[in-house]
Amino acid sequence: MIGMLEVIGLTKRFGALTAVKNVSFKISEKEIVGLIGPNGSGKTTLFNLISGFYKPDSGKVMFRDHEISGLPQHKICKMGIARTYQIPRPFLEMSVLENVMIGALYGADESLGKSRSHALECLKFVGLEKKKDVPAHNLNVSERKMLEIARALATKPKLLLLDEPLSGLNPKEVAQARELIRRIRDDFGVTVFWIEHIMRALRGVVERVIVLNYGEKIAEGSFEVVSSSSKVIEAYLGEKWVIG
Amino acid sequence: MELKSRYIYIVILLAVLTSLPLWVGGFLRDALILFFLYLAAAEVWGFMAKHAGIVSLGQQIFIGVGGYTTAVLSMYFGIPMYASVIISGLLGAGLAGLLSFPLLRLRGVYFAIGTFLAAEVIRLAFSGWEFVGAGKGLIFRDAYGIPTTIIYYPALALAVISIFLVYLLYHSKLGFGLRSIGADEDVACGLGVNTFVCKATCFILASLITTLVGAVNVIHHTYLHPTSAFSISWTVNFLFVAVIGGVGTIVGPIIGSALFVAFGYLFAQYLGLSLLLEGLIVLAILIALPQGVWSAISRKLKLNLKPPL
Repeated sequence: MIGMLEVIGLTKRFGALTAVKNVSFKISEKEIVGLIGPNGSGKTTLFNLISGFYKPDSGKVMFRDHEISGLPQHKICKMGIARTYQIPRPFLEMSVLENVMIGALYGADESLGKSRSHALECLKFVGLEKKKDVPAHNLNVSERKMLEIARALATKPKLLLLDEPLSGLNPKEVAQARELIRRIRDDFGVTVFWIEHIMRALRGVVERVIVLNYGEKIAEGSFEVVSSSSKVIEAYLGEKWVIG
Repeated sequence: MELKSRYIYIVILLAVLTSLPLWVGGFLRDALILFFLYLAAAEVWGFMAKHAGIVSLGQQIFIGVGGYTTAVLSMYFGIPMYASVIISGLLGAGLAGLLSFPLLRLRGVYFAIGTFLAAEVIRLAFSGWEFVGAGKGLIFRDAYGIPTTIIYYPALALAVISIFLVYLLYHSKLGFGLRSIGADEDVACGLGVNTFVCKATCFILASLITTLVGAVNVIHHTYLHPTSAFSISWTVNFLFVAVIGGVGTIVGPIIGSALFVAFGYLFAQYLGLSLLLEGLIVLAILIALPQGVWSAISRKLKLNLKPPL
């Protein structure tokens, strides 16, 4: 399999706190990889390092064999890494379609005409086409989550970083979103790196799971292996819940 | 309104505006020149502030640079006045490009403070620069005797160009980028928008117009002094025009500039009190109509205009 993302010894400190500590892993093309860990374990910081919002203190990020750590966010986006935010950050005053067009215009470097039709396709894919002319501030939480995904897809990414795409969704919407994430990979051939707070939501969709705790990678492997790992259970529930 | 008839109205309007100096009096010509100059500068200031989130308190830099460059090039270098105006515009745009590097790294209120401080530094530099008359100021003798019937046209042209620029900018790819930056700069950058290039382009275009306003203004005014040429009251007035009319709209500053010029003449007789009176009126307007006069009118009449109108 072809390497998509390689993170080597990545470290990020905020004052005395080391948010990400010497983390290394690889993601191959067309994989769906989950990233889990308790609150404050450094998941979002890791995304911020990969997408270029933060510069690492040491270590590096390789994307398709090019070092990208230190590049500005807009360049990394144009190279093919798009992200969503845990708490959606739509451009509130702009229409839903215009929100998605920004990704197509700049991330995918399209013309105004092309970006309009491309953005519409992305909205259809996430099921928001009926809301295209509505100002984004009128959307509810689950619609905003879908807008995040549509906007990221419009940049034509090769690697999509999803930051808790399921939080705030009801059970029916969770099932639909899980299916959607699978289709992002199957239909578009996009590699997906997916932060999730609820471990079981990943089951059956991800090929691999990476677990962070206090900024360190404590486990990596298939969902079944990771979810029964005593280190992971300890990180989530405390030592006394570890059986055997 | 059909598209064709809309164009006819625009043509009629432009015809009336072009022929106006031939049949209105000198007093009104003066007022109209001020109206167009403030309108031109306020249109671009409002666009920058509302849509791109770039709130500059230093546009007086470009008023001053436009004025001084035009006067100096015409008087000391014998360059024809119209060419001096154009060169001053290019110089102002270039200066805006240079200033972008330190200033546009700042955001929001820090950018506003930064632009104001830059203007103060430039004002002090001009106050000590003998070549341009230092603290004594500069009298632009070459512009004496140029009738307002002639100055009227570059002022009108600037207002029209500024309005078209804002309209085209809003609907361009750059306009989309700027609006996303105005909404959330970090998210915009994450979606591939080169935020620095977009903001700098917008700042350069707005400053180009503002420099040309300064250039035409000095031909009309014929006198330059560092304290007044680089005074923050310029930018405060543009802000006034944009905000009372409706910031971020195209029609708003037209109303705002008309009100501003009218107030100026109405209160001119109460010398010391005129600023106080104007200030009170602005406060009253903004408390009653926080979105500006034009937004209130268009809502009342249910015009449903598409932005940026």
